[in-house]
This record gives sequence, C-alpha cells and structure tokens, in this order.
Amino acid sequence: MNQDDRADALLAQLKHEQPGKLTVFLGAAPGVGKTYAMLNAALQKQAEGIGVVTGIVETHGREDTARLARQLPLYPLRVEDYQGIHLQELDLDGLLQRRPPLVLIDELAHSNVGSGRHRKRFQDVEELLAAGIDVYTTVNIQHIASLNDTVAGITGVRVRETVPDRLLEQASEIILVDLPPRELIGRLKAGKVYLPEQARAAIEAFFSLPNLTALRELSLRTVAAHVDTEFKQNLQAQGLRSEQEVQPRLMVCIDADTDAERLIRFGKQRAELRQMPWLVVHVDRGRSLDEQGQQRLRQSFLLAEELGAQCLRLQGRDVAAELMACAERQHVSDILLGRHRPRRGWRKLVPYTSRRLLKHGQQFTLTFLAGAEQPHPSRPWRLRGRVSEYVQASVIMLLAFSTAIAIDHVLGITNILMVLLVGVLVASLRTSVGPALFSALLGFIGFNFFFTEPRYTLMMFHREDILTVSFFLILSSVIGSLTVRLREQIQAQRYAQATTDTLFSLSRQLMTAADEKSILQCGRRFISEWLNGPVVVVRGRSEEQLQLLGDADNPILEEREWATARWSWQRGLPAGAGTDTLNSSHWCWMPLVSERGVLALLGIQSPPWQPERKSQLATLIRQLVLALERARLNEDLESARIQGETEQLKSALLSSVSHDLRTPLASMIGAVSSLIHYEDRLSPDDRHSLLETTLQEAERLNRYIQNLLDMTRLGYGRMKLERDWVSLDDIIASALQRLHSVLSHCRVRLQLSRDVPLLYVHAALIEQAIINILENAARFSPDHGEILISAAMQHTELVLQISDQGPGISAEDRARVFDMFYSVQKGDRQGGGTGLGLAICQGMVGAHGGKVVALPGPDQRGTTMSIHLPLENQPPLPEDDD
Amino acid sequence: MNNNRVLIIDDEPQIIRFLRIALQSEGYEVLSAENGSEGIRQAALGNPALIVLDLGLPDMDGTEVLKWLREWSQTPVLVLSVRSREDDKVQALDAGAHDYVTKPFGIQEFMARVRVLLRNRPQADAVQEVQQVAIGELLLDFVHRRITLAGEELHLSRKEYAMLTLLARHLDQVVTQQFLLEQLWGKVHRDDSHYLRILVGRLRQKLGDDPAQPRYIRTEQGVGYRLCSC
Repeated sequence: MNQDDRADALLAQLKHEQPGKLTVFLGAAPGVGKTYAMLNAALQKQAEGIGVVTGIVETHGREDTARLARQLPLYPLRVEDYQGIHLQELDLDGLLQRRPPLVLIDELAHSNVGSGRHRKRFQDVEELLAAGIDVYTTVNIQHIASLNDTVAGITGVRVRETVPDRLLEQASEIILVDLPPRELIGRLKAGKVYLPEQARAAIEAFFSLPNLTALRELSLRTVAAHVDTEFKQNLQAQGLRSEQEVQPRLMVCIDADTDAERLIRFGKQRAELRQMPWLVVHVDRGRSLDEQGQQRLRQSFLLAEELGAQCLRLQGRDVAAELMACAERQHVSDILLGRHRPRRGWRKLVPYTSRRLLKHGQQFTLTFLAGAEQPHPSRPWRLRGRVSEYVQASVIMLLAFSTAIAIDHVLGITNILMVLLVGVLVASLRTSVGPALFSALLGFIGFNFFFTEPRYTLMMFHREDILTVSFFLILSSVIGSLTVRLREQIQAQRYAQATTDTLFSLSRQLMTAADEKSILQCGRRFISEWLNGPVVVVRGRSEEQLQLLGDADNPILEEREWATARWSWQRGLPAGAGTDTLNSSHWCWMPLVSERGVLALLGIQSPPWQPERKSQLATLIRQLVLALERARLNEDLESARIQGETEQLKSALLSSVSHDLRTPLASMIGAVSSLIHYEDRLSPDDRHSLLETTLQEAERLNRYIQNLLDMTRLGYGRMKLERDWVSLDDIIASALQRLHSVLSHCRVRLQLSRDVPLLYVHAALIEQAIINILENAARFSPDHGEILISAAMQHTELVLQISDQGPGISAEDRARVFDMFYSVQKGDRQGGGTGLGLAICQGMVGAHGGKVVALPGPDQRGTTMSIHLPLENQPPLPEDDD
Repeated sequence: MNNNRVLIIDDEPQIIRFLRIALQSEGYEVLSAENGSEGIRQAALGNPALIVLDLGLPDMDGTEVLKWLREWSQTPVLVLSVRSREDDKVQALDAGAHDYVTKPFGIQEFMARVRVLLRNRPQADAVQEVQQVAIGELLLDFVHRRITLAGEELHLSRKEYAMLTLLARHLDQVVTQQFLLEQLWGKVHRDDSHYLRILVGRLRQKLGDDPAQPRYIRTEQGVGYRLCSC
C-alpha cells in the first residue's frame, strides 16, 4: 500500500472523529425494539456521565419504552400548527444552540411537516452531526434507499420514505436490533407492535414469516458489509496490506430505455457486498433522445450519485467498444447490464451489445439483471399528440379535399394526388407524428371515397386505382413521418443552439469583467435577464456578515430569506424555494461553490422548474464559478507579483537610503565637527565655506527625504491625485524658487509659449517631477552652463523640455534611467547618483497619464528631458468683468 | 503688550534653541512652551506680540491651540508645520493663523515672516486700512483708486483692482485662494480656482511681472497668493 492510500484511510477515520458520531439502531421490521434498545444504550451513556438529551422519541404508547424515555431529559419539541392539526417536530435550531453531547432521534426516515428547515429528518441529523453533536437514531431496513427495490420485491410493499445510504456509511456504529421472526409475529399478535389502524390489513400481510426472514437476512448482510468495510479501513489505517493492490471495480451500464434505476440499486448492493468501488456508465451514441428519455437518464445519474457511484458519460457510436475500453481503463472486473428490449424489424440483424461484450470481452464477469416485476414501463396505447393537433390536421386535410374537388373536373387525377400530398405535408409540418399519419390516412380514405370509381364509396373498380391509392398511403406516411422527424431534429438543434448561445454570450460578457465584483454583477444581470425575474447576489466573509452586492435596484429581503441564505452559505447547499430545505422561503439560494468554499450566493426569486432550464442554470452557475476562480487566481498571481516587486523595492530602497542619506550626512558631520574642533584656527572664509556646505547638504538631505516620501506615496499606482487648475508658470516658479541655491551655478533660460493653457493636475507632484529633473540638470551642468526650460503645445499635449549641457546619457541608458532598480544598482559608481529621482518623476507624470522621455540635448550636447502631459478640456471662464 | 516679545510653542527643544538664538540676536525677547496647554497659559500671561506655533504638539493639535487662542486674542500667529500638505496649511490659515512656514526652513525665510507679521500687527481690533502701497516702481494709491507702474497709470478691470486691494491689505502675507474667490465671485465659486489663475495671469501681464519668476504676486501652490513688498 502506498502512502496516499494510507493517508486516505486515516483521513476517513478522522472524518468519523471530527464531526459528531452517528450510531444507527437498525431493525429488520417495525416492532423489533429499536427504540427500546436505543433508550437502553442512552441510559447507559448517561450513567457514564455523558449528557444525553432526547431530541424526539416515538413511544407509540408502549409503557416499557415510555418508562425508559422518562428517565432521560427531553429537549422541548417545536409545536407546529399544520393545517389545523398540532404536530410536534424536532427543534433543530434549539439543539444546535444548546449543543448537547448526544441526542436521540428516533425514526430517521421520517418526513418533516410544517415550516421546518428540512423536508427530511435525516437532513436534520446530518446538520447535527456536522455541528459535532453525536446522534443515536433508529431506522428500518426497508427505508434504506439502495435496498428499496429489494424490499419491495420481497414484501410487495414499496416504502416512500427513504434514507440515502451515505447515512449508514457515515455511521461510526451500526447496531442491529434483532428479533427472531416468530417472536416478532408473537409480539404483533399480542398487540405489542404499533400499527396505524387504517393500514392494519396491509401491514399484517407484510409480517409474514418468509417476509420477515428475508428482511432479517438483508439486515444482517447490511451490518456485515459495514463491519467488513470498517475492518478493512482499520487494516489500511494501521498500514497493513489489504488483499489486492488495485481494487477491481463494478461497472453498471445504463441507457435511457432500460430499467436503469433498478440496475443502479442492484449495482450498489452488489458493490457494497463485495466491497468494490463502482461506477455507472452511459454511452451516448449521438442519437437524439426524447424528453422523457433525457429526464429518465438524468434521474438515473442523480440516483447513482446519491448512492455513491462514480458517474461517467461516454460518447461513441459503438457502444460495446466504448464499454470495453472504459472497463479496461477503470480496472473493471464486473459488468452489470440490464436486459435489452427485444428489437423490431431490420434492427434484429444487428448483434446486441451484450452479445458483443460476451464475444470480445475477456477479463470480466458479465451479469445481466433479468426482467423485474416491471421490466420496462411499457407504453400503453394512447393518442400520440394532442387532440388540437388532430383537429388541425383534419382541417388542413379538409381544405386539401375542397381544393381537390374544385379542380377535379379541370385537371387529372395525378394533380389531385399532389394536392392531397401537399395537405399531408403541411399537416406534418405543423403537428407531430400521430396527426401526420392520421392525415395520411384521411387522404387515403378520402381519395378512395371521392375520386376513385365508383365515387362516394370505399370500393374501387380499377386495379391501377388500388395501386395508386396504396402508393399514396405509403408515400404520404413516409413523407409525413420524415417531415415530423426533421422538424423535431431542427427543434432539438435549436434548443441546443440556444443553450450554447446562452453560455457563449455569458462567457463573452464575463470576459470583460476583470474582478470578482464585476463578474458577479455581470452574472447577476445575465441570469436575471435569462430568467426574466429578479436575481440578487450575496457575499460576505462569514455567514454572519452576508451582504447584498452593490446595485441600488436590490429588493429588500425579509429576515427569513436571510436565515435561508445563511444556512445555504454555511452548508454550501442550495436552499429555499424549490429545494428540499427551508422551502417556505420565497427566494431560492444557489451557492457558487469552488474548492475554496462558497464564493457567493445567487438568490433567485422564481427558480426555473423545467428540468432543461434547471440544468442550464446549473451550467451557467458553473461558468460563473469558473470565472470567479479565474479572477481569484489572477488576483493571487498579481499579489504574488506585487509582493515580489515590493520585496525587491524594499531592498532597493534600503540600499538607496544608505547611500543617498549618508552622503550628505557625511559632509555635514565632517563640516560641523571641523568647525567645533578647529574653531579658532579657521579663517572666516573657511568657516563660512564649511557652514555653507553644511547648509547645502542639509537641503539636499531634505530633498532626498522628500523623494522617499514621494516613493511611498506613489505606491503602486494607488496614489490619489488632488487635481486642481494651475498654471504651468506657477509650478515652474515654485520649482525654481525651491532649487534656488542648487541652480546658483548655472543660468536658467525660460522659453514658455504663451498659448499654454491651464493644467488640471496635482500641482505638488508635477512640481516635484520638474524639481527632480532640474536637480539632475544642475548636478551635471558645467559652471555657467545653460539650462533651458521650454514649454509648448503639441496637439492635445503639453510638452515641457528641460535641456542641460552636461555629459549627456548614452543611448542605451536613456530608457533605463527611469528604472529605479537600474539607478539603484549603479549606486555609488554613478558619482552623485541620480538616486530615485527620475523613477519618481516618471511615476508622477505617469499618474497623470503622461510620460517622460530622455533625449539627446540640442546640438547633440547634454540631455533633454521631455515631459508629455495630456491636457484636459479647459474649464468655463468667468464672465468678463470689464 | 510687549512689541518685541515672541512666544514659541514647539515640542522640539532643538528648534526652540535655534529660534531663540536667532530671534534674540535680532533683538526680540523670547518665551517658550513645549506643549499646547503650557503655550495657551504663556500666551495669556506673557502677552506676546507674536506666537510661533508648531502644528504637531504632544498634548493637543496645533489647530486646537489656535482655536483656543482665537477666542480671546488677535495676536498674530505664525504656524510651523512639518507637513507639506496644502490642506493643513489652508486649515490653519482658516482657523486664524496669519502665515505659515514649512519645516525645514531657512532662518531668513522665518525672519522675513516674523517681521511682516509684527509690522502688520492689527491696531486694537480695527482692520488696518491701507491708503497707499509702494513696491519698487509699482504704486498702489487706494484713496484715488490709481495704480501706476513707473509713473504710468495701469487700467485694471474691477476684479483685478479688487484682487490687488485684497492682497495689499495683507501685504507680504499669504491670502488663501478660497478667501479671494469668495470675496471676488461669491461663495458659489469657492472652488473655481481657475478663475483666479486667469485673473492673476492677466494682472501679472499688466504689472509686467514674469509669471515664471514673479516679482510682485507670488503663488503659494495650493494655498493662495502673496503680494511681496521686497
């Protein structure tokens, strides 16, 4: 056994330990004493000091049971007023709140009535278990879903209330409450078994000796299978080898025709008995199925999933080949098939799938499930098509006959036939198979009656007439049925097309939505239009903080709806209208679930009830989940990228700080300490020069710090711009003033075009951008070098250029000087270093939608830095006051 | 009231130290306080002619101190702020400060502000009525409503003239742009800063002022304008 298997086994064990433990008291039939046994076990637990609470126990008026029940504290029941009758139901929320260690809940298969959250009691139990509460419960073997058929087969009584098998599988313990059949019958006769009065006769038939013996055997087998599974899991958890490395599997093959549900139930039982994983397979041959067939298939798969099978839909024309390939892939050792329906006509010649499997398959056992009590819901003869369609067909044929009679004397018999054929064709186009054939028949009889000699009888004189009429019948039937089939195919295709179109248009709309919120909004809008009803989206961090998403047009939800939404969020299951849970709500809540849990809830006021619409809705929701997943993934990637860059930036900034801050500090400390140390010996000139240095370096330090502050302000494009109307002149004036001392060794020349309009910018940032460029220009300018500042309009941009006469920047470095990592890397080697100045400049101009480029200076000397700023529309001017 | 007494309210002893040295060497008498409440007490007891107030104080915000002071005193206040955000400056000016200096600052800049504030100090409560202002070749004669530049009369529009009057009334002091906008165009146009930009542009043109290196009307970016006498 490999590590993974062992881990799985341990996990499976853990799964039993984390949530509450379920103990099932299983009986073969009513009256074996399940409740009594459960109460006894509970009392024992209570004696051990465990807090036991009775959730609900039905004593059915038996004194010994009631006596036991009285010894345990009863959690008050919820009284339901159901159609005037007072009913007592389990108070689920009260129990969840109180969280007793162990709760007793009788009759697992019970169906809830009234306003409870769930339709079925086993759902209540599951919720209690999920909340970590241990549960003791009782159930009879005939209520187990997969055994439903078997029990019905044995006893002839079909039970409607079923419990999914997963509850037995989940159970940490199954306790078989066994009573020999004879003794049970004795108890029944002594009136010790509770029987509802109205069903007494039926039930007494149920309690026959053979029935009870068979049921008892079934119960014993079920418990044995459970014990076996547990044993194997324990073996695996202890790292011991189980008999086989690769477990063989059971494959159940179904199609829309066969009695699939019975096959599946049988498969489940067999898989359980033999401890095999199992799968349910259907091969889609591309044959269009009628609505009922599709519905049957869907239901079969739902059942299979519920019973824990892996479901597969294969595609291919050759069913047997597909099945064999699948069997190979899935390590299938057993194949279960239903008995096919006998074929009619020419199809008799085609070998059955089963025969081909027998012939070619080698390594597996084939099992055929022979005819059951109800082999296939044989269709009773009925009118195919609606009555209105027959009326329609008759009217059309009546019109055709009128026309034919009108032209009878003018044109020949062939033309009359043509007219009638057209009638059949039109009728087939507008109706279905039944009426189409009906119109063909009408044509046949009518032609015979009106147009063959002797007229107005159903007899024929001429042989060729007989031939004509017969041919007409064949021809019109063929045309009719072909037309109908064609039309149906077109309709089916149209429907498929509509589904594809819907999906396509959703995915196209989702493509434009980048983040989670816009995806949800887009999905909400789309589904709302598609359903033509209100849809809301709910999100939140936890079920306590659910909120409607954005949009002002959200309806107001009542508290009841919120409670339903919270439940759905917590469990990741649909709830509300049209579901099995809390269905007194007016809204249906569909969770968008991914591997990370519930991403959001979709609230739908009028959920579709048609199966196709339902499945389409499910597809749409899947699409939404995929889009959300994609967005999350993108966000994760993005934040990982940003994190990486931030790390890089941090270290870059650190090295920049150590360089850019220490350089001026070194000069300052040097100058000032010289002043203190050599105070008397320094000439006034030297003293002044040292002081001057200190001041200049301090100012430089101040500018560096400003840069650092700007760097953090720039962040990652998340800077808030405080735009205002400013004149470029003011910005330049302010920059020149601040750099007064830095620029003292050069000449600054201004060439500002008069037509530069007002700028709508964050003035302080643009000023800083200009200062950073000017500072560099001043640093690299020779003494008395000229710095030219020019500004002009170019289309809808302002172009501001600052040129110096310094050494210039080499062509390959021109783009890179704006890269902060590059500047930082160069560090000390750069002599004075541009630091982060240009990168910040680029960032600030970029935040305004502009850009900065480095160009060679005029006459190829020095450098020209060119700032391009897009211009906004000018604001309205004040009225002239002159 | 002592005409030469300056109160410094700042929690940084180093700042107080160098300001004290500088102010004393210019012949001012210096009081100091290291927190807001002490500052308010000193302002009441010491009767200073000027208060230098740091906005970031340990016990209360500088603007709070300003509001307290303004309840009973019209003493000019010069605000020191390490924050370079324009909003804070405007807020302080609105709360009654007369001018501001942003830290770090040069001592000349600081002294210039101090001199202006002590010179323009309000006489009792009456707002100083300016009759005539001369800045170099520019002569503003408010009595005769005549503006001359190098002896030549300038023809200003009503708004231009009103703007110049407002600035001259607070000569060398910053006047916030909101105040100017309200005075010239009314409260509705409080945020139409572009009105001012255009008006100032025209005014500078008429005064022969280089907008990129203005001599008379200086722009305090994001805060307001200042008419400079020097």
